[in-house]
Amino acid sequence: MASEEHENDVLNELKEKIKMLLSKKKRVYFKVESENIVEVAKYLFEKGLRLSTISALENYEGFELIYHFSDDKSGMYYCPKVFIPLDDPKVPSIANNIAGAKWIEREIGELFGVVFVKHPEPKPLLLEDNPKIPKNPLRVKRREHE
Amino acid sequence: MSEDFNLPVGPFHPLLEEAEYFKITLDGEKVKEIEMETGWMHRAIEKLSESNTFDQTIFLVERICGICSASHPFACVNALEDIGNVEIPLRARYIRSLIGEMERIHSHLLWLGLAGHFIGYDTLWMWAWKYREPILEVIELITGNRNHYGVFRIGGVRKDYDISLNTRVNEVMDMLEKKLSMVAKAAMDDPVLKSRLCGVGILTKEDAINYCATGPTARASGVAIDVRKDEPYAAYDLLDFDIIVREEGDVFAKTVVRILEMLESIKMVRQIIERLRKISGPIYNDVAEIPAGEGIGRHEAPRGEVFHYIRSDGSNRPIRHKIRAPSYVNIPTYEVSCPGMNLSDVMITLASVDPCYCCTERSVKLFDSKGTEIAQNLLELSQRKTDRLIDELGESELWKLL
Amino acid sequence: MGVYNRILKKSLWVFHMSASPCNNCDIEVLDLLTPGYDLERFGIKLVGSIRHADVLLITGMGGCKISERVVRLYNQAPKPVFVVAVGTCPIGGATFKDSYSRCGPLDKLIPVNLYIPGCPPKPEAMIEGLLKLLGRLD
Repeated sequence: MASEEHENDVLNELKEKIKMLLSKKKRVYFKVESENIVEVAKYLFEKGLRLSTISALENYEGFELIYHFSDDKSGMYYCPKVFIPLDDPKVPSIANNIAGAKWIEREIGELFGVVFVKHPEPKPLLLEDNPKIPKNPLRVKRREHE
Repeated sequence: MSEDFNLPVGPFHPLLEEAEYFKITLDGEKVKEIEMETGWMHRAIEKLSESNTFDQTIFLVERICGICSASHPFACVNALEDIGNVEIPLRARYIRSLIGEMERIHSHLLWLGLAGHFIGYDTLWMWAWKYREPILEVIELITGNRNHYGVFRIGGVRKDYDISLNTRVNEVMDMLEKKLSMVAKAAMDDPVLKSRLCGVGILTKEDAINYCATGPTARASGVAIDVRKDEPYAAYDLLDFDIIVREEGDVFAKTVVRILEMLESIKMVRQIIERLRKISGPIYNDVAEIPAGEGIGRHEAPRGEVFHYIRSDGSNRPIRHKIRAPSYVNIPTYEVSCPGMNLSDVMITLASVDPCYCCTERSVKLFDSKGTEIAQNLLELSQRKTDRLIDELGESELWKLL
Repeated sequence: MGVYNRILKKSLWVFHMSASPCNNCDIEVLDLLTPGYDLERFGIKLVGSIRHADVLLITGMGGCKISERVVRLYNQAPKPVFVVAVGTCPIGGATFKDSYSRCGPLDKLIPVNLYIPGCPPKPEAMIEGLLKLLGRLD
């Protein structure tokens, strides 16, 4: 199949840095260590892929950041996933290489409390000066003893 | 060396319908820097979505934006169908595309009018919005509402298209095509308009790629991306249409892209309603449950790519619903397209990406004081009241009264 | 008040303000001014500053960040000013009623004279509402 060959093409050079998680029709999800994400993102971006967005979510193990890279020529989605611990949520920023990630990272930083290291403009985006808003509103509410 | 001057614009500004705050740093008349403060429209939809069931979520995301109110549910059902690998019937695919294209026409007309308003060309505003009205009327005939259509559901659509509407839809499309070429000629060949828009707010191809711009903003800068072609969904792989691409990247190119896209949409609507005549069958497949998993759905909205990412744990609610509206990636391009321009050109540049800062029910019956339902056209009622008063009092008396 | 109302009735000047809406009501309000409905024939027109306005027309659920400005603008308006809430959002919050970012309903912030429900209300409903407001001025 054409799309599978293409997928191998794109991901071949990254083989040591990624761990395949799931591959289905037009969607590829793979795991990347947080220190490698800048390099992986830069590589994918220079291949001509477009960063659609970054989704963040919280589960019991920690935060999960999913970078959605869209290959507009084939309609494929390459999604590197970065897992970071709850108590030390730090991840290197990719906004220095991809200007489009600036706002996205600012928003995640504010809604989830994830710290993007070396972000060019580390300030809140949406909730600044908002009187009533809870801190990091998209975090899962847990009881104290947990 | 003149001193820098900070000019605040907003949050309530006569030209912005939505509240938004810009801090413009000026050196004389030239813009040095532009900074934007957002969050006035923050409604916490991503959080709300986690407490709604999948069916409710579709109605919720419809209310992200009132102009592109088919785009978000469209992308949302695409994402849900990506999780469950749901196939949808052919007829439903065509109806979905029909709504999507109708919406593109009315949204681009809306933008054209507002763009005219922003540069002080109110005639264009009144024209564009006058011809937008029949489109809304047709949308109301098809879906039952002018905006917030509520036709999308997992596995298909909620409301069938009535073939007997074909005549009216064709009529409106013919009228629109004629008027649109008139407006296009009047607007695109106007030397004043050209000198106002050409070479203003240029977004280069490199910047468009670097800022990950989508939609007409990217296509006017020479980046040929369109989800409808790149990853066909609904009936777009069965339809014949072209992507409009321009290389210049200025406001004029964006205007041209949008006007030509409307003509493409008219072409598509004609194809769809012709084919719906022959295609019968169900309009939805029943979907019992959404399995655990993750799905990406997208749709080419009038403003660009709408992106939805949904994570499901097998229950009836999403555990994470990430929404990325097209304006979210298009608005930051101000940082590169505004500096160096005159202050008077900033407003139209801001408007040129068709920013929707919000993207970022109807069955109200009207009763009069006696409790009888007013189903007639209220305009007619008000006119009738005026006529009655004239009859009772005479016109000169009425003027005195007013 | 009689004379004032009689004059006011001839030309209501409206300041339109969006407090975290979904944009739909806002567009329908603008729609009223264009040839399809042409509200200006009743002497109603949109103005750019609250200091010129007789009517404060508010859409949206009233987000926390904006609600402060809503109150400030209401205080800046020359009195008497009529507050019109357009859409279901300023009345009950519609789908956003549980949002953490909501400080509404609107009547908790400022007094409201007229409610026009609907999501979005049809332009005809808005005209009916505004004509009712004119009727009240008799």
